[in-house]
Amino acid sequence: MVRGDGLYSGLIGDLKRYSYIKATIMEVCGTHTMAISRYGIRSLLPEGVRLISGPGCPVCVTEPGAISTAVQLAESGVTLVTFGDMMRVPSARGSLYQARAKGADVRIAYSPLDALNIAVNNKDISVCFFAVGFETTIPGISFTLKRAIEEGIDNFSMLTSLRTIPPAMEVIVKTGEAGVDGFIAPGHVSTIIGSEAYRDIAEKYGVPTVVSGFSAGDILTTVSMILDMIESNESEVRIQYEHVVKPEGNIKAMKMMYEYFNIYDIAWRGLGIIEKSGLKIKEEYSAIDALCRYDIEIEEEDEPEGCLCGDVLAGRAIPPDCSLFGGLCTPSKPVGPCMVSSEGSCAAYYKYGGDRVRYTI
Amino acid sequence: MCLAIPARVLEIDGDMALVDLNGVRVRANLAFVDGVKVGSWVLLHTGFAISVLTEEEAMETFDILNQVFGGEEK
Amino acid sequence: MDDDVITIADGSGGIKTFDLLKNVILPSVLSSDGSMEDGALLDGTDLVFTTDSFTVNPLFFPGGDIGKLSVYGTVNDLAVMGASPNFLSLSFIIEEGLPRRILDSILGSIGRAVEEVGIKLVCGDTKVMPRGGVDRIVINTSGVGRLISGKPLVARRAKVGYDIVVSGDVGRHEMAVLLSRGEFGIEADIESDLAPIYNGVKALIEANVGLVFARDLTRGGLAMALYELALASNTRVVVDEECIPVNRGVVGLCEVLGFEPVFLACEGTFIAVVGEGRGKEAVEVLKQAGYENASRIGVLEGGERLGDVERVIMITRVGSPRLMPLPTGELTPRIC
Repeated sequence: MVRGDGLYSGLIGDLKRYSYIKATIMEVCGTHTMAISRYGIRSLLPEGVRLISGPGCPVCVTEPGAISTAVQLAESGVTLVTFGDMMRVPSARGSLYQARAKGADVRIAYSPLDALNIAVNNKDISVCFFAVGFETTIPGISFTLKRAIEEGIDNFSMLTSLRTIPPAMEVIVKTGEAGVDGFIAPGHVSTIIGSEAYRDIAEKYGVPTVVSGFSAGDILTTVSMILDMIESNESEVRIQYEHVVKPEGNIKAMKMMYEYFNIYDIAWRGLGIIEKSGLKIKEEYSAIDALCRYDIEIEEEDEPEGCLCGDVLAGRAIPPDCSLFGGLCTPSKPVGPCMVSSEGSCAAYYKYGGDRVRYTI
Repeated sequence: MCLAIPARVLEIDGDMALVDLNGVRVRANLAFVDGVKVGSWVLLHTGFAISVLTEEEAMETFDILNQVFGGEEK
Repeated sequence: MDDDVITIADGSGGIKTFDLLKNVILPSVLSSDGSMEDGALLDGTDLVFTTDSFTVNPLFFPGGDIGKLSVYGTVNDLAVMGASPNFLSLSFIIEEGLPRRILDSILGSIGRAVEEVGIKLVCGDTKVMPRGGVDRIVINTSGVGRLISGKPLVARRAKVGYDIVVSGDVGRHEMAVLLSRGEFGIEADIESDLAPIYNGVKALIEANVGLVFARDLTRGGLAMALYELALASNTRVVVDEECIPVNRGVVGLCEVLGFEPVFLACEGTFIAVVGEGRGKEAVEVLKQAGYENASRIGVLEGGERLGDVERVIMITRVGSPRLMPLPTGELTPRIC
């Protein structure tokens, strides 16, 4: 039930004409996950339309072994700097927050350049930036790497766990387990890689894909564009977020990405190893790679017992399907990564209520 | 997955700029965008401008932002 | 794993602090009635007693400093109980090496704040800890005040149908403090809302708008205050997102850093629960008293058989209902 005088009553009204369609639409961007919950979008859609979340939260899909490695580095006396999202994610060695509470020097940065500045301004400490992210974030990380190398900042290193989105989307449609009928493609990743990056997914696998902005109006329009393609049996890549996303993307940023990173096969939480979906520091720059500098390895680690994060990230389950959800696993005592990150699908479901909000206006 | 927000360029110094973000000033790196001048609008993510916007496009985003909360002038 | 040491999150004022208080501290040391108000009415008197410790980094921030904060903070805890500011104690724990000029400046600020509020400083204490024993300076103040509202303003008195108003825009204090640390290369003209709120609460009491509860929106912000209100009054809080005033700069920064404005602490902004249909009138009273951004944000509804997390509903700008999220720990900027 929706109050009639909302901003988008027209858009919501238009969506009603698709009420005969049954469709599962997946968003692969944590900011969309958040926005959908924050604006209560699910309650505005026709009953047959189901929105599910994919592997769109970089923190959530980071393999737990990488976090253990970061904790290990911090505990060994290295100043570990990372994005705020990463701090609470549990691993076999605990979270970075816990490491900090026990005396390790763990700091939060808004920009990777802030991490480099810590190294520049504190020559007596060794600084490691734990870099996670998708295509939106990687060019900036790459730029930081370039600057550190060019300026010879030798007390700076990086531990990376970087991924690209299209290969993960392809795995999801290929296995078909999630039954995805349409994709809401990530707005800001697409700013970098361009909408053309999804052409195969739309055309080869027949899954309508629309690159969306982040306001409630953007998302409602995107859903309506997808439903329109489903109705007319078309499958293309379209852009709703037109003023920001170009078909070819940001070529300068993409060039920067591949100047310092090589493509390799990397493990995703929930999806396993996905071919050619990771980026690692090129061998010629290995001196700045924390794995080489400290001679450590990222070890394989099991998921926490009973945790369905893997299935949630792959679109095989929704958060309330998990027996831990809301009881043993809450945002203040998270078990799995989807509950930790504020844009993880479990956290968004828990905090904003998902489609469980029992309230009639 | 990636928060980004429009900001207006106030000053440029090499590849760094000072940008205004709804009344707040933030440092931004311009390495990935071309043709940015003082007064241009850029989309900012983790301290990097990742795309250039027109004023109209930027305002649209801000209108939505300021509508979500009361957006009180203070 | 999570429980073997105290983390910053345990003291951040969110749901973790609430749990620490309710499940660890209260059961261990107190035999009180279990209410978690900002102060206590002393048995058989009309005196309200409250205490608070203050630590802030940096010590001086746009709009205030730790000295002013330590006076207003306690005055405000008295005010939201419905009590006037009468007597204040003042204790310092100082780290060895603190420059005298910093202490002098804090003392000057305390002096001015005490005078402005008209509270009487009656006792105090000073300790110095070895370097590293405490972060520069921690101030504790306790306050005693006289009840001017007849009955204490407590959440239990809030009933279904009553209106909720907020006295001003939310989130400025915490944002101002955070930015003044200079960690994110962000400059802003955002000033803390730090101010005594006694005149606002008093105006509402005198206007007879049926004021039954007030709470200053300190750690945990508006979200935590509404949650505690709903829980303690066994009601459901329903608020309109578009009625919650937020400063433009705070809105922009929340977007870029990934914060929720409703989680951010204020130090001069409070919510008040007033009688059924009296919200509009209360807003007018507050505006008259100088709270120009005061706004009626919602209403209390029936809360039977509700799970704790379902207690606070926010009607979004789009017109859809969703839960108001709760702050879980330390605010950290996110990229996602």
